[in-house]
Parts: sequence; structure tokens; C-alpha cells
Amino acid sequence: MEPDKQTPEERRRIREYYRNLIENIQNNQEDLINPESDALNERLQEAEELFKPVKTTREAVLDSQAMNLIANLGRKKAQALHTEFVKFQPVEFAEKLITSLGDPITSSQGTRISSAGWQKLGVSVQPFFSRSPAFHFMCGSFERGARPQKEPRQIKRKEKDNTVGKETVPRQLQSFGEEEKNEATTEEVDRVHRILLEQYAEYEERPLCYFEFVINPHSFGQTIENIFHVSFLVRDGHVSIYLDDDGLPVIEPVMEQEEGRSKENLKRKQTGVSLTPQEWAEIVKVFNIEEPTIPTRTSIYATEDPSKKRDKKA
Amino acid sequence: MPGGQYLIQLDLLFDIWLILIIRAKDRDGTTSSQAAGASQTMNQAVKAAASMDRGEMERKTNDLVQYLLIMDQKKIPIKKQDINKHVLKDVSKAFPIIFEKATERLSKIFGVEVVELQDKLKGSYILVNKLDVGEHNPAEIWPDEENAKTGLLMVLLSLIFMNGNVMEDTQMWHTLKKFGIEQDHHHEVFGDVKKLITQEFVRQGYIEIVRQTNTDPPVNEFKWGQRAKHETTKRKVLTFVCQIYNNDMEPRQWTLQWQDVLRSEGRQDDVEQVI
Repeated sequence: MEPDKQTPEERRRIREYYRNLIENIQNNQEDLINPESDALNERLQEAEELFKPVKTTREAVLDSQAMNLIANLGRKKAQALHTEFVKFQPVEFAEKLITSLGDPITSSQGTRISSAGWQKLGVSVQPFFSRSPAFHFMCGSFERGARPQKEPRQIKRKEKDNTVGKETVPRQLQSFGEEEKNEATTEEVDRVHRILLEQYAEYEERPLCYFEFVINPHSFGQTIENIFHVSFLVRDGHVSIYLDDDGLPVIEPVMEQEEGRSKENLKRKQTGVSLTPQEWAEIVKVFNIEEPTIPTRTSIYATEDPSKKRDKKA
Repeated sequence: MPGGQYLIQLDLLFDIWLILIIRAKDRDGTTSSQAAGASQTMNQAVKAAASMDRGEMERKTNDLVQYLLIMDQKKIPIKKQDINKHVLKDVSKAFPIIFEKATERLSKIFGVEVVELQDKLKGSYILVNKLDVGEHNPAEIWPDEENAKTGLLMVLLSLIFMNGNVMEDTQMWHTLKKFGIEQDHHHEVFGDVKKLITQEFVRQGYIEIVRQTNTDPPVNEFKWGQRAKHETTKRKVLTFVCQIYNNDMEPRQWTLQWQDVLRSEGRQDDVEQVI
């Protein structure tokens, strides 16, 4: 037997020491990285001692593992070392921030910031960011509603599984008009048409005043949108607009049986209506319109909600 | 329209100026191959731009301005590759020239600066507001959801900066728990808050998460992303933190952070005086 050959027992013992050392280091990380303590250095010395009898690869691997661990902790220890007098305490910062926002929600899980608190914080920090501005719709026109919630992904996956292996067959397009139905404008046009029919029935099937129908006294933007939507109904021959005996424009739905005839006879015809904000204000005053016939569409921005606005002021 | 003509003439002048610069460089006989490569790209760009008529150049520039403004809405950096694919298409060789023009227009008309990101994100651009909004004059109104997110973002940036520009994920989540934010819990305001922090903010370039090698269990470090460095400054964040401390603390009392602020502003000489 060569003099530097170790017995398996010896090697096993070395490995045991190393494993104990590594375990010890892993379990005491927090103490070791404390800048006040010298424990990490002691562990390093220990590893140094242990390495002296190491002769074969297997033990050396354990040694490098221990060294790696010590080196990483050394880095953390260096980071934790602060030379300044005031040390930043994240938890203290959290507490101060929550207090500064006022009216926190206290529950069994501790205090947290309310929804309004987060918004308040956001408003106050916006000036700290040179953020390029976001787009807004002018006068709130043509705003889409909130995006529909996405279907949970799980369902999608199921469908996918089922269709695996099936051939993709091109679908016959049934009607070219169908697709349009999904668009917000078409939806709105349908809504306006429905409201017109209801109103028409209510007024004993007498033509309605055009202005009273389209004007929204609260919003110029929505008024323009209403005019826009009505123009679609005119184009498709669903409604007719004409001047009454007093020379005022009136609007009247075209009934179904007539519709078929008019579609053939009438060439698609459209005219433009121009309306300035001044004219709009004047009409609101002259016709004494207090409430819109076509209800105001809700905005996607919650800020536009008057009840919330009041909250903010308070 | 004399004003319009004036603009067009400026554009022409600019092109001529570029050509002159390139010619001058060629005469100098640039030694470094990189510079030669860059000037060659520029040369090609000038040639490609020269082959476009004025109307087309005008149209592409305006398209690019609009594209940049719209793509910026999600705050995700815009890739040069995408610009070429969606806007410039067959005139992508003229990228440097059209891009320069669009940048100038965004700056002069919209007050927005186009910034190219560095390192791994080279070839991506972000838009930064050039106008100083001032501390007590919020020039813009944001939707509630956006405000709440910005609030959270400011908390993250403050924590990272005050902690020495880096914070380990365990410590980050431990601190956020104090705010009622936990990574595996649905949050009443932010929803999937882990996704917001580790994906949305990261993709937008506000936060950078660096995975540490050779650690078990894996350790991630939170740092400021490149967008954060352009949209805000260390000084502003320190000011915010001091506000939270009820102004009991002045910025210079945070010695280490104050030095960092001075260093970031290139005032190396003043750093020593602090100590």
C-alpha cells in the first residue's frame, strides 16, 4: 500500500466532516452574513483545515461546494455592511408609507393599503416620472367599453385537446353582414334603433323631433356619436328624416313591410349633418332638453363617474 | 405656404449635411472597421432615402411618428425590427434617416424624446416625456388603474434604490407583505400582482430581475430597469422617500444614497465632501 493512499474509512470521515460543515453553514446563513460576526471567517478556516488531508476528487468536490457557499455568503455579508449612520429599513419605510396615506384597512392579516390609497399614492408620484402621455378620446367620443373578460385559459386547453387530430375544414361564410354585428358601432346602431322604435310606439306612432332624439344635453361628444349612429340607420333605409310643417327635422322609423320596398327603390343616400358645440348648446337651451333620449353611454374610465368624483373631492 | 416650404428645405439641407459628413469621413479614411461599417450603413441609407420621392419620405416619416406614439401606449420598448416590418417595409434601408426625422418631429411637436436602450435591449426604443411636469403640477390625468400601478412601481423603485440599488427577491416579497401584497395571493387592486411585478414591469423596462448563478435555492435580484433610469432619477426617488418620512429626514442625511445621487449626476467632487 502506497503511503499517500487513504483508506475508505479515512475518506468517509473527511466527507462526513464536510457534509456537517455545509449543513451547518446552510442552517446558519442569517447569522453568518451579519456584518458584526466573525463566524463566516471561522467557517472558512475550518474548511481550510479540512482540505489538508484531501487527496481524491470526491472530497475535493465537497470542498469546492463548501467554498462556493462561503463565497456567496461573503458577498451577501459585504452587501449587508453599511457604513452610513442611518440605515434604510424597508419595513420601517412600509409602515411610514401606509400611515402617510391614511385610512388603511386593518384585518387579521395586518394592515394594508386600500384601493383609494394606492390611487392617491399614484397621483402623488406621477410628477416624479417623465412618462410620455397616454391617449385620450376627445370629448369621450367613440370610446369602446371595457374589454370583455377573457375566458379562463383552462377551457381553451380542453378545446384544443379535443380538436387534436381533426382536420381543419374551412367554414363557409354564411352572411357577409354577420361579421359586422360584432363591431361596437353596429351594436350601438342597433341600440339606437331599438330606442327609436320604443319612443315611436310611446308617442303613438307620430314622428319624433330629430333634435330631441339625438341631443345629449350632458355631452357634445355623445350627441355627435348619436348623429353618427342615426346616419347608419338612414343609409340602410331603417329610418327616414324629413322636415315637418314647421320646417323642423323629424325622425320616423320605416316599418318592415315598407322597408323591403324602399330597399329596392331607394338608392343608398346619405347627407351630412354639421353641428358645432355652440349650436349644440343653443339647441339644448331652445328645445329645453334636460335629459337625453338615448341614455349616456358609460365611460371606461371610472374617473368620469360623477359619484366617484365626489369621493375624490371629499 | 412658406412655412411648409421652409420645413422641406430644412429636410433637404439635413440630407445634404449627412452626405457631406459621410464624404468627409470617407476622405479621412476611417481606420476602425466598425466605423467603416457604420458609415457604409449610413451611405446605403442616404442612397435609399435619395431614391424615395419627397411625398413618400413624408408619408413614411409620419407613419413612423404615429406608429411610435401608438406602440408607446403599452410602454413596452419598440423594436427596430418591428418598425422595419410594420412601417418602413421595402424602404427599411433608409431607417437611420427616416428614424432621425421622426425623432425630431416627436421632439419638436410632441415634446417626447426617443431613447435607444442599451446592452441586451439594444435596437429597442422608448419614448420619454421631455417636458418638465414640475412637482406640484401634475400635467396629466391618468386612469385610476394606471395611478395605482404607478404607486406600486414607486414603492418598488424606492425599496431597490434605498437598499443599495439591489434587493433580493425574498427580502422584496417580505417587505411587500407589509403592504398587503403577496406573490401567490390575488390582490384586490392589482389582481395577479406577481405577474404585474415580474412580467409587466419587467417587459416595460421599469424593473430588471437578475438571476444569481450558483445559488441554491435560486436567488433573484431586483434592480432598476432601463426605462426607470430614463423616466425618473435617483434624486427624485430620494425626495419621495424623504416625503414619506414626513420630511424628518433630509436627502443628505441618507449618506450612502445621497452620495449615489451625486455620483449619478456626475458630481464626483462633491461626493467626498459628504463624508
